[in-house]
Amino acid sequence: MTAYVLRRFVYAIFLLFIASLFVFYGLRVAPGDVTDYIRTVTSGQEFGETLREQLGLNEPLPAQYFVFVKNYLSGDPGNSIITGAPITEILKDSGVNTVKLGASAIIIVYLLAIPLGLFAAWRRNSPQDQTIRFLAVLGMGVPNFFLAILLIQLFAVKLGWFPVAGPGGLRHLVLPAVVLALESLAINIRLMRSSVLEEAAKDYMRTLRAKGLRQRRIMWAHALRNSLVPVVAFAGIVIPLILGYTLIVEVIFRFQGIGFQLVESIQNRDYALAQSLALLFTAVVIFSNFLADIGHQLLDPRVRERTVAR
Amino acid sequence: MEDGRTLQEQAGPPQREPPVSGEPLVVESLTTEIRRRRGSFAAVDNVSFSVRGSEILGLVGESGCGKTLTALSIMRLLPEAARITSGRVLLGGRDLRGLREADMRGIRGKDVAMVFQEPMTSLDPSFTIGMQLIETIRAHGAGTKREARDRSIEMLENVGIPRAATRLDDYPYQYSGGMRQRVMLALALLLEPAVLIADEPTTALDVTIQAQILDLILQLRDEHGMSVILITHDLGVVHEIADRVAVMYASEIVETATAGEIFRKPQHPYTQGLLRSLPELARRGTPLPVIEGRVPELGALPASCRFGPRCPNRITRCDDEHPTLERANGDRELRCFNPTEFELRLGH
Repeated sequence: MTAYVLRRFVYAIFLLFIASLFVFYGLRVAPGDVTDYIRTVTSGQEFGETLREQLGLNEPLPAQYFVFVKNYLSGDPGNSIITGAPITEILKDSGVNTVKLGASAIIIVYLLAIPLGLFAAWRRNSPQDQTIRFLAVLGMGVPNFFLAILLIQLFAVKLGWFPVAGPGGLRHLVLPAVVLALESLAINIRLMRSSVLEEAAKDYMRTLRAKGLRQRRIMWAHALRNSLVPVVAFAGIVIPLILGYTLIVEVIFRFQGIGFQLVESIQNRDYALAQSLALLFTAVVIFSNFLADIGHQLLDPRVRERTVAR
Repeated sequence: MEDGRTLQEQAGPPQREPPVSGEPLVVESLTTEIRRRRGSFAAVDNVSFSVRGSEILGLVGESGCGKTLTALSIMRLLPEAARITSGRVLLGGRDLRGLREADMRGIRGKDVAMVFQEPMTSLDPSFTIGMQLIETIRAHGAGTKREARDRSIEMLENVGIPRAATRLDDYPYQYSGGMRQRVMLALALLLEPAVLIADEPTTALDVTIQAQILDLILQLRDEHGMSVILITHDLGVVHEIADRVAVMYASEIVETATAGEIFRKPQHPYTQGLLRSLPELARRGTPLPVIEGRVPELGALPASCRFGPRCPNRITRCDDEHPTLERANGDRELRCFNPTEFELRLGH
């Protein structure tokens, strides 16, 4: 198991390196640069040229990449070109916000999807099951930007229960987290339900009933445990998906997280900041995949054993 | 344990009231119907038999003749589409059909237990063998965790699992097929049931392992004194260990007799055909005899004798009437208008 974790970790680092190349190059090939933005304020062709020289933007790309990596490894990614604020500060502040938002959404997804999926499968074809399935289809169909506007209109503007936008306390988190969670919640309910139904048809279920176990124990201990395997494996896709959506949701709710900052910095061609944010994003996605892989190992005794033996 | 009794005393045979009839399990006119698109069909049709104390009853027949559904009807573990429509299942004199589901749950695994055909898939892959044994004892309130664990180890040793105390913490995939079937037997016998139903317990196993499992069933019967219903399509298996045999054909029992009688003097033409087609009995160099024709479909059973179309002994009456199961000489029951004597010399 330790060897496996180590191997996955090295792989994650390698992925991060590849991603840094793409992030770096992708931003440089986008038309225009930061001086276009600054020039509109201060004006003057020469000024732009001096600025470009100062920022090292006239260096060849490999040299710029080298500086970029060196700065990161030394632990100082520099300052925002536009505001001059240290990037580490921005990453920390926006990172905390995004982690709060993402974690809330992920908790909502799994706290609801697992019991609801199991319950729907247990009471298959009952009105409760049909209601859950209908809501799941609805949840998958509604685009989240649209849902966001609906929820803001209803709960923030009309009812005034929650703030319209902005980061803040728990109440600020509710609407964006719900919007962020909904699609993944719907997908996971369906996944969990079908996974439970698949387990329920297996031979060992009959043994459990023949032993005289209660249906409740069969479902909540045996079916649950076995049905979780695909759900946990799928988390490696769901969690990055949720993080990706933070971009949209943070912009809509003007929630100052990584996504919000990233969109802003890309629009301003604030290379240093945009690179850092994009890289942080990638790192989080790679890390969540890493965790999902390990979770999968832990759940399945067969896989666990094989990785120990290796 | 609250009342101070040991596990053995609580779960073991001394506590069970002795069955009035002396027969732990009596099945009376059991009919189980399967709902299909075209209607309902009796997949178990008016089946009656009884199992005596410490007896191994072989329930024999081809695939689809209703053996397994008979067993699942007794356990009340039928699939959704199947339903018992009439008859009684008396376990120690108590009719299981009339029980509420909660009471039935208390009987499954405790008074009547079942072992299934597929040892590879019949255990939960995500739980250790120990957890699966212990939860069975706990579900019937028969001991503390500690006692349940000790009892599980003891039972694993009993079925021949070496280093049982260690192997308790292994997962099913760490056991071979034969070992898993031993575990299934341990699971079934944990609470010393009066009746064990073994549904094709050796079919999925290698021949050498088959013999071991059959020996184990015999040994466990001798030690624990439970009655066994051994469901199989394999007459060889029945010949090994059964005391009595009930032969099923197309949802009905066609012949019941002691194992000795069945193998020495089978009277129903179907039983005779089954025996003749045993490879062990065929003469070298001659084609293996077969029963001509096919088993009738559930929805298309003839109103006359169901074996009639394939029967070498058929007389006119067979085409007009449905024979009933009649008591013949001695311990034999027979469903046939025109039985013939048939001498079979067993090779061993």
